[in-house]
Amino acid sequence: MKTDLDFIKDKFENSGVDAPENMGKDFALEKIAEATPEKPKKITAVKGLSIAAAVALVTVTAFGVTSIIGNTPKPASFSGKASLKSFNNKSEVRDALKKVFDETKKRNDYFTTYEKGNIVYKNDLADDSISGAMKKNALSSYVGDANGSKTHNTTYVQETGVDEADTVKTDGDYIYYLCDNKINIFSAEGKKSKLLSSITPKKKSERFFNDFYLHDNKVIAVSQLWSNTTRETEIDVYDISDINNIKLNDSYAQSGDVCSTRMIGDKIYVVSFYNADREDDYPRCGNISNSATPDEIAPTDIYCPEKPSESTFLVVSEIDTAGSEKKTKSKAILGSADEIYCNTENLYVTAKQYEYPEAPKPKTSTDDEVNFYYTGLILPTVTATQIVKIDLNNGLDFTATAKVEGYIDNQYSLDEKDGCLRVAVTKDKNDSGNRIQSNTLYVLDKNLKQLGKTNSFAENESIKAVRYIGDTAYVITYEETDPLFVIDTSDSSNPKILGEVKISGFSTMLVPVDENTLLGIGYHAQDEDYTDLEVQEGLKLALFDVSDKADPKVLDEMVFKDYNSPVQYDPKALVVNYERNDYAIPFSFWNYNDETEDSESREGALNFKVENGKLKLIDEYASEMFGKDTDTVYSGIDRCTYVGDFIYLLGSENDYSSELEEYKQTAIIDAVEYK
Amino acid sequence: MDEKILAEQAKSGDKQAFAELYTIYKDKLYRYAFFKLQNEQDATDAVSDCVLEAYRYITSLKNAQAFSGWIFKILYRCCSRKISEQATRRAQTEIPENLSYTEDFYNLELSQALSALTGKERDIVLLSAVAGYTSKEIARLIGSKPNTVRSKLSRSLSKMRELLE
Repeated sequence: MKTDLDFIKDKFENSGVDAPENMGKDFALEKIAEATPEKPKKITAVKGLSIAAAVALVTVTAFGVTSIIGNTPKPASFSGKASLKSFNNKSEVRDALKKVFDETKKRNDYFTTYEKGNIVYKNDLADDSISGAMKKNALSSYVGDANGSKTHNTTYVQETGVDEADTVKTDGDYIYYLCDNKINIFSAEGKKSKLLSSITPKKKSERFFNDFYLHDNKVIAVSQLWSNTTRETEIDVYDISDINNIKLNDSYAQSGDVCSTRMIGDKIYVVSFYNADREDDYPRCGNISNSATPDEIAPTDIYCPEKPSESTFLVVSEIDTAGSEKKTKSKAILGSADEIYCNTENLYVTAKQYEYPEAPKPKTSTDDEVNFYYTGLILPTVTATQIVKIDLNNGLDFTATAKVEGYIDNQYSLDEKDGCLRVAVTKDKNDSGNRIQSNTLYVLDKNLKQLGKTNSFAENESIKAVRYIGDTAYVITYEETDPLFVIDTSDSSNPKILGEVKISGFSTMLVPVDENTLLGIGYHAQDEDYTDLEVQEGLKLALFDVSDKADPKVLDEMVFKDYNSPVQYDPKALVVNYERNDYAIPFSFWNYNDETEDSESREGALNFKVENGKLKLIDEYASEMFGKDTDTVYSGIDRCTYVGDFIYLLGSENDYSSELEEYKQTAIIDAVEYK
Repeated sequence: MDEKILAEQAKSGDKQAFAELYTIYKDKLYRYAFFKLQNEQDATDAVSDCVLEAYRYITSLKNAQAFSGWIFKILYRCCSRKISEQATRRAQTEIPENLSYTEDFYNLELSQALSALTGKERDIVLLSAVAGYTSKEIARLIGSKPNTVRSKLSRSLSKMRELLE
């Protein structure tokens, strides 16, 4: 029987699609008639095509259609630019949705086949390449264990006191790792670590674990339910006080796809976006331990902006995972959700707003053809970011909303200080066919009214990393070289760029080492010598001296050519050991020699530190368990963590030998002692 | 004529040899561009650009045996540029363009099968089934890990097969 690859190869070869008659040898000769071969040279790069991600940077789509609500919902207390009103009853909600659907249909009748009001691109947008759903790391505070059990890694979070979900966690006794839709539980016994148990979601063909929290002898799992009829975000609270006898305590469900979550104390905050298909679609949230369907959210807890343009509900809930009454609070707003930034007081939910170009009329009238025809051709531009501020201490009150021009990189682009919100954005403008980018940092007051902003900076570059430390914002932008900008926001009405420094490549994450030093982790880039494109060629660490904010300097750089690490797009992959004062990251190295056609590869962990203003590599551990690569088996590293004296490496072994299923995945663990 | 010999000659600037090499690959090149860009005109443009660029930078072809991989890399980049152009054109157009998009494109069952994949998956399938790259080569080209490529490829091929059988 033919392999899938051969079958598809044949299909292509016999598709009838061949080079046209007039594109034969003569065509080629004609094309190169006047040309002469160039000598290879180093050309300074123009925007790399891998940054084509800048063209389609999204996770969730939204339409920029304006419409006005007919009925008069009851005004809620609010402040800020856009007024928010809550609904009086369910039929008002239905009417509002109907209005949005009508407007959307009128303007975008070419898109009517698009699923749930989103363009077919939704698939592309969810691609694992640089996407808006990148999570960032923050310096977490050290957590030792009062019982004297070993020190261990804690999730790298943005705000102290606000936990973030992850796919790897440890409590010093066990290591929990999400792989193959199971939360695998390993013992932390150095090289002798083994798989003890695992948690599988109920109805596992429809439900997928996203990530989870460890808190108070519980695993709180966040999962996504995708069935034919329902899309829900679920929170399951498992009791793990006895690893051999794990119990499911409670389950909660909330309408829509999960945007993000946070945990403060026992409370989990869940933000989801629920795309309405029909006028009757209505957001829900509640405990489903005893009933299949969560409760409807009260219409008076659903809000609407003055000019709703979304048929999507942003749903936010607070779920108490410990309270005996197990109350949940929920609110919703007609609007979307992409990223969240959360501190102990407020939750900010952001959503991108798009502009879609007019689509030309299709030649045929079949929806399917239209649907397919436009796939791959229409790319929207992000014009603005909607921000909603939610008060965590006041029953999830929507305190304010605002719209800023431009888009954010990820959650680290926002930070609240002294009641003011600082936001760093990149703006895309189309100027007679040329796409121009520029960047600005805004300071908004507690009602999200603009207090001040910097001048536009780094034209034709986009923001790759942001870190706020005190009154200073550090911003990395990238086009060819990686300028680090130092911005002073101590005067809210006049944030100012103090200094900058350029180095090649770019950081996607900035880590404060101490008050004068910043560590940048990201990509090494170099020129490909036969075209004028810069290509990402590996991992790079950079050390910046920011003691003189007007004159930041590069202290040191370390390039790992042909190395990749998830830390380049996921800050949580950074493992900080506060006792030893060092860092560990997982890596995979793969190198292909064009001439000899040989390839070499290895995977493992890099352990490094900052010492006397220099980067120092302590150890590169190449694991024998990862990097296996035969025709039928591949094992790859995913993350690492540490407990006591060991760095643990986690990943999966993928077995492709079965004829029946696509591949079998098993979670595996390796350990190496700190040097 | 042995491909390797042709490549050596092309490297030294021999236009005939280069054009000869091109004809060996022209169908695959065009096919790749057509399915990636979804219309004849853009595919023709991309292959055109690729031919010129390949000849101009022929000296960067390090290993005559690697001609296929090398030229597809250039085509890949030309196609990526075309896609950016398509987006800009779309954004600027006030009057509907007289598009040369062929209706035939979406009547092809392969096109329909491809549309069931994500952009990245489509890239991987085309690079594998049309351009003939291995998972490792694809990984290097698109900046993914070989195992990610392999699993996406495996999933995509079987999805497509289901639709086409």
